[in-house]
Amino acid sequence: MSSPIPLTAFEDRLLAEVPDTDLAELLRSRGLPGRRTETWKWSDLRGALRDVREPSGAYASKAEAPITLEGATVLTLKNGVPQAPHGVEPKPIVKSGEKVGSTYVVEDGLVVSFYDQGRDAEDEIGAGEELSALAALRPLMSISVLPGFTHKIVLRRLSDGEGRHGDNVFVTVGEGARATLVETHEITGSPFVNSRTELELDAKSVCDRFIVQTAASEAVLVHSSVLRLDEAKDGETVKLNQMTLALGAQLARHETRLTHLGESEAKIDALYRLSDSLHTDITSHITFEGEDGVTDQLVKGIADGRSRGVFQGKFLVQRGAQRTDAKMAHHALLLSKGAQINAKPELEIYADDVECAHGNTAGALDPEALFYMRQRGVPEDEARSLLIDAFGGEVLERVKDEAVREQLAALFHGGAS
Amino acid sequence: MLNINNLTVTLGGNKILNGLDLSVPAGEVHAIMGPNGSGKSTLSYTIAGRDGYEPSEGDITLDGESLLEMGPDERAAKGVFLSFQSPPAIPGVATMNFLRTALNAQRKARGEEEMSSAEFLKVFREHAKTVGLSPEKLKRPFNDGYSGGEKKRMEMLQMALFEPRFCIMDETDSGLDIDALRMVGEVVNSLRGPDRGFLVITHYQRLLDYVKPDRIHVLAGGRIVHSGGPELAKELEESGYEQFASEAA
Ligand SMILES: Nc1ncnc2c1ncn2[C@@H]1O[C@H](COP(=O)(O)OP(=O)(O)O)[C@@H](O)[C@H]1O
Ligand SMILES: [Mg+2]
Repeated sequence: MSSPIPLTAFEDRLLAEVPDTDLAELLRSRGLPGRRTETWKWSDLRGALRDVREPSGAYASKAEAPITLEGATVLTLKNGVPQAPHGVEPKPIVKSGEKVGSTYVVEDGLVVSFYDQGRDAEDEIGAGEELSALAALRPLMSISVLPGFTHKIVLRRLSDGEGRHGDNVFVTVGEGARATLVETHEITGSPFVNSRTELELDAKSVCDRFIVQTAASEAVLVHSSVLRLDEAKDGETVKLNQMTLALGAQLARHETRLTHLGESEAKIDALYRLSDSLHTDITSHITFEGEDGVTDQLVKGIADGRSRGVFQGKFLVQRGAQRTDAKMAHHALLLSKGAQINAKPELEIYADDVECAHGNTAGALDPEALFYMRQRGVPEDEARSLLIDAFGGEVLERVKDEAVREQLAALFHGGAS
Repeated sequence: MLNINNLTVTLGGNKILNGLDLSVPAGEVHAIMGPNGSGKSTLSYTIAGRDGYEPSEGDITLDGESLLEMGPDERAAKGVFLSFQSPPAIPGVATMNFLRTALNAQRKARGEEEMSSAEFLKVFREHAKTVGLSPEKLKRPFNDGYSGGEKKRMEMLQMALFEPRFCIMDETDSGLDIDALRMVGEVVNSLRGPDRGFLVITHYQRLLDYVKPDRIHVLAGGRIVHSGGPELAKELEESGYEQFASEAA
């Protein structure tokens, strides 16, 4: 472990709120992750959080949902605080004679619970995982789609002010259940938001997950997702289709840690679009623990102005994970000289019968296509815009739900403005 | 109509066009023939205004108005159309959407009314039929998965669709079979008229059997070294460019 470094006043404040575990030890010796942390070297969180931030007050803004989902239950977190679902009476959750939270049966087969506490801080966390562990200390909000049910859920995270807050959401999709889960980050002002979603997909379940983060030029956002995909049962596999649309922040990190426990299929796609001095970091860490795991990942991004896009993708194929099929591709478009893309695809493979492929490119708009379109009369800006939409379209095409796809396309198209 | 005066274009340190003069009056079809690498495509890119093909000397005017300060899209709106020697594929860009955007952008730039989707669809389908492109192909992204011949058909579809004032055809005939050549002839001859001019770049006299040129020019050493009537094509085919190339020196 590296020698202790002088902590910032903000780090001291955070540390005072953390129980004495590995997490505290990590924070004490290294501070928040940043430039000097291998997995955060292109996303200097420590540098972005130099000033002390007080816990956020009540959310006081109005926001219009960037995306809607027909027939969905809408749940809201305001500055990290879960809002009681409308028109449902809570039931107390009692543990050893004490009330520890409230639970709401929102609909048949959809249960939402708010706990007063988070979970005890975990041991054995590694450097770089501090933010996820910090968020896990927050009061837990749990969402359960019970076995066999089908539900659509929109989880809006609304944030404002200049303080700090976070959330700790646990979603289970029960055996044979189907869930569409849209998670938004709608941030105004300049808060530091530390979100966490833990998602457990039980056998035979199917989940379409969309993460939509609109632009927030002065905010700092870390969203850690921890996903577990159960193994196949009765010949039916778990299927996850995840798509992240990220439009940038002062610093934004969308991190996905996914484990294939056995035969299961995942798409871990993302699309980012950045201008000015916005930043977005798409990091994923996919572990193949059992046999026959399939991940197909397509990430594309566009960086204009002086923005920075970061992609870090890792596949870890463990010894027993035979017949793993893993594809990773990241392609970026640089629209200006000042824009930057940093990409690190990584494969770590301990099984011998696996198929792993990865590709990574970064380049400018095709000058040949651009000239051709202009020769046909399309003004330069419009030609560029058509080519940019076409570039992002390859990712959006993979979204099956047409209504969602169209909303994502519109957000992507307008992303730069 | 199109007047080119003392045109000099340098690419990668080499003078590719060197004081080229050419004049194509309205209503005429002129052919340019010349050996590989003589600068025929360079001339067409320069007229169309491609980045990097800015002339160091000379001028190009269309109906007396200089094109040099205009971007490629402005030149297109003025009626300059280039049928590319090797048209690119544009993955992810829907063909109809692109072409309707292009047509309406031209119209808007000229202060004309935009064409409705329904009207566009109607004319588009007619031209598609003329050039022999199937509706299935046209559903694909632009030129995506098209053969060389199909790309040339797409060029002719667009030439018919845009009804340009001045058409440059850069080796449209190369790689085409007889049926396709006949189709090219049909499109050109249907567009031929007193207000329109053509510059047809070709290696072969076969296209000129379908498209009768008024004049033929030989490009060598960066300029037009010889001009003549339609009979020049046969002569070139029989004895090559050698005799004229030496005139350039
Ligand atoms: N972008 C470029 N940069 C440098 N040289 C070029 C470029 N494009 C073409 N050239 C050169 O210019 C000459 C003429 O090319 P081109 O106009 O394509 O000839 P043609 O169409 O008559 O076969 C060739 O020698 C070619 O290598
Ligand atoms: Mg050529």
